[in-house]
Amino acid sequence: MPTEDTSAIAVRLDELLQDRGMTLTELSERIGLTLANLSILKTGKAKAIRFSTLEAICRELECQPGDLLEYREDSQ
Amino acid sequence: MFGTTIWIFRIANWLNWIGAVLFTLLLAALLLASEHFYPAITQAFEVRGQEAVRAVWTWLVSVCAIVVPAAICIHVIFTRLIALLRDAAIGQAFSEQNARRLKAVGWALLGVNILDLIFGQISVWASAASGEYFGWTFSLTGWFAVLLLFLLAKVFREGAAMREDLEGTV
Repeated sequence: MPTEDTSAIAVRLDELLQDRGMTLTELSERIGLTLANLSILKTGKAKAIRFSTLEAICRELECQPGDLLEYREDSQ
Repeated sequence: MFGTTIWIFRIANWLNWIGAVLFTLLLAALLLASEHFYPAITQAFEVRGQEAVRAVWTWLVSVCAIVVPAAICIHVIFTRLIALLRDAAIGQAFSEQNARRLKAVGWALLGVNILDLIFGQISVWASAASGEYFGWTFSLTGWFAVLLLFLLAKVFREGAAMREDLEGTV
């Protein structure tokens, strides 16, 4: 199975948090996800995201999934 | 449970090596002082005639010689199983390394099976040549176990890939 180190899918969690003036710790408490797991997502090291996680983030940050995830062609 | 099993395997492996050393000493004695063994063989196995005694002696030497490679195979089996159990005890059973360990156990068991076949052949020959019956029966169990271990190694590889995916899921 080939493993990809760089994904074309970028997670824009940092920007969203900055816009809303929220810290990663605060978000992790609100959505009930560990800080470690949320860091994995933020740094783009996650391999997959659960719908339940996506739902919780969108609910707390009042955004759409498209605001959180972005496809970048050049990073491949 | 894991701790106890690990200790049982450890002790079994020590016994394995103690046995191997004893058989090696016996092998050396059989080779260096064969003439001293002939009267003992005549008495113990109730065989008559130079050729029959010689056949029993050859059987003994072969058995001792087979024990050493068998001990190495058994050592591989026990040490890999101990390492696997240690990982399982901390919830890390499904890994690429454990898949490789299971494969190694499979190869080692294949080695033991082949040695058992050789032992069987020698026993059949020695029985015919000496008139004394050296018990050996062919068994498929070990061969099936080898197949099972190789399949299990594949399952572990799949498990490792799934685990990796799961760890990257948030």
